[in-house]
Amino acid sequence: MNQRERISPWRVTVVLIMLAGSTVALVARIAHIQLIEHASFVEQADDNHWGRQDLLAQRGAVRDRNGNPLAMSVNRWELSIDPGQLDKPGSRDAAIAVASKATGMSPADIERKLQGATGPVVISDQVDYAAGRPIVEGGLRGVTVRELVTRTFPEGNLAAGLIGFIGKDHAGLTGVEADYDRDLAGVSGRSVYERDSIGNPIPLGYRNTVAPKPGGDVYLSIDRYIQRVIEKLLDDTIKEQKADGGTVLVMDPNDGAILAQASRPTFDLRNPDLNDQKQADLFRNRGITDLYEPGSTFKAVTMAAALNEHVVTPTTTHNDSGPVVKYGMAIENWNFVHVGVETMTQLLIRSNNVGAVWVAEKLGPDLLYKYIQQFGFGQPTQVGLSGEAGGFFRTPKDTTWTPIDLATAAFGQSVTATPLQMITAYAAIANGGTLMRPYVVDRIVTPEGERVTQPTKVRQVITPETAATLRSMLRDVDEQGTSGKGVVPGFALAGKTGTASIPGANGYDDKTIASMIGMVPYDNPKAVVLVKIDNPKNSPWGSQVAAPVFAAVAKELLVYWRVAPTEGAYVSNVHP
Amino acid sequence: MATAISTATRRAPIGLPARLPQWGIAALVVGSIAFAGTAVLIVQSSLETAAGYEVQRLRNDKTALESDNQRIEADVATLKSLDRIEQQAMGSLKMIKPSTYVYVTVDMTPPGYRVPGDPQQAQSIPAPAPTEPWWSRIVHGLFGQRGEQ
Repeated sequence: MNQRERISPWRVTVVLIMLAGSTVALVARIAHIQLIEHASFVEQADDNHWGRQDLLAQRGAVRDRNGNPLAMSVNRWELSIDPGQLDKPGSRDAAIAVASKATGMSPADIERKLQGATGPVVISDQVDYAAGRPIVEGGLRGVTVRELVTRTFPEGNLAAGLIGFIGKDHAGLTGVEADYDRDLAGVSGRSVYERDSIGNPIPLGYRNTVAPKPGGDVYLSIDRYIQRVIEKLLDDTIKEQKADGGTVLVMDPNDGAILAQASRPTFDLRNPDLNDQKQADLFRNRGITDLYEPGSTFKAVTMAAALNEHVVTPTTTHNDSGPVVKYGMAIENWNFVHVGVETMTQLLIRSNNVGAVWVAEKLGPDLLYKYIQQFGFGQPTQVGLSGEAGGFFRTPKDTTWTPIDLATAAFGQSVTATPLQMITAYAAIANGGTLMRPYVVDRIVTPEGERVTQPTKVRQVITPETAATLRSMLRDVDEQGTSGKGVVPGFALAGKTGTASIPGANGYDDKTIASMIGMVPYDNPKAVVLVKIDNPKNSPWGSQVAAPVFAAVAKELLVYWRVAPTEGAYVSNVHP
Repeated sequence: MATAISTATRRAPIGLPARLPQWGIAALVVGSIAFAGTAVLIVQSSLETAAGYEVQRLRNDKTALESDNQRIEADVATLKSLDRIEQQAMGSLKMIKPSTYVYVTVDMTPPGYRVPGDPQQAQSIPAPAPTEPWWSRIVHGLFGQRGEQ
């Protein structure tokens, strides 16, 4: 029997079937790969072969009116260590040593961060660009760096509520950073390049790069010196008065530029925590979002309307013989004192509520509300920032309106306004009667060019003569109606204080808002200053709490701008 | 016989055939050109590769310098910040805050102040004598007083 005869046919058949089956399976798999999964594998091959990199655009800076940077971008690295990749002997120590050198952290601290971690751990996102560059070029397994653009604030927390902050994706989230994000952000670029098997770009390989367009610089109308002055004064006053918060605004009445704006409480610009609900309340710009009843500072608006309509003159008298009763409700003076006959100027000096009601009734609701509306109340000022409130007041057209509304509006109750609306109205009195649109962005400088904000006249509210008359009255108010706390010796200022009760769910309570709005100097004012202190504990009165802050701000401004004192003043140089 | 030996020795001194065939010369020329071309290509490719790496390095350097520039600008801004200036002035330089100026209005006319439209008061306050620079006095001394203008 030979060899051929000893192999059974079924065995040969099985082998042939197996071979045929394998061949079919292989062909099927090849067909599957080539025909069905073709696109997927091409994509994988492309991913391996082609590198893609987003090129972050340099975010523009936020600067003050003189070009001093308040917020600017600096490139840094985020350094991570992946303990899962540090499997070779000594690799963990080498990675920690590299990270320690780049971050300045101690090896023990880094080791502590890596304890128990299996995936990548961010060691620091503040690695200096020069320190991180060698890691990129050296390429150590398990250590990765990612380029970040971080915001830095050379002036610290100055104007935090106004500037705002950006998120991890470099998009502005609050303040000017959010409202002018399109101008600041620029346009990201993209680079597509061929890379080798370990991911490095092939030097002579294909490379297509669309360069990023850097963002523009936003120049605010803020002056950093004035801003710093008001923030320090506000902080000191809130601390001294144990107040809940406050706002100070400084505006150039001639063009509507906001020269400084500060609100408290505020947040740490360098470390905002979006997960902290308590902080979320601090992010808003209170100068434009928070409404309050302005109280007696509003009497200037009532008086402006009456003077402009020739209903009264500064020497017109009225007889304050007692409280005014409307609909069974008595309207009293703040000190419950009734002085009898007094002029309109004395009315403002004494901040007489009964007198203000008398003026409002002489005007009538149509005229008073017309002027309130023309001074910009009840609508946003369009300052160019989001979240601005418009305020509220009832008119006879509203079904809920009663004559009490007219009476209380005369001295700043039943009317709500933002601090920005109040200072804008006073700016109209200061500049000769023109309501200017306030602005905080002076100009935007981009690689394409420069856009400059043009001062905008909204309307002529009162005549220049009326404005001059009222300024003169407010000068007397500042000198005689603030207990001497709102004056700067040697200079003539003008202003009006206010002490407004804060309305709650059950009516007005004991809490007050002490405020003062004034002009610096009285004649041809260069600035209007608003001071608002929320719920001061030591004294509730505007003349006691806000007037000294107004005087301190005014004094700093006069020295800063080198305004000469009033003629005939004697200058005494007192060393502390 | 001696001459024949000498001729044979001269014809093939280095082992090459006395006369290369034409195809051999052509092959040699083509080979040389091919070798030279290949060498040029290799050198060129090598230089291009080196230039590519140089470009890559310069790109990285440019990025690093731009980042340094930003950082330096930020450092300069921080050094010029008002807080730091005040800190340096009061801490390192031992400067003190400016004196407090108190302006007090008094019931008297300051020296040299002239009430507009009051010639009597203007006469009562002697106007300060005009000062003449020294060089002007010498010129006038040498060349005489110039006339009123």
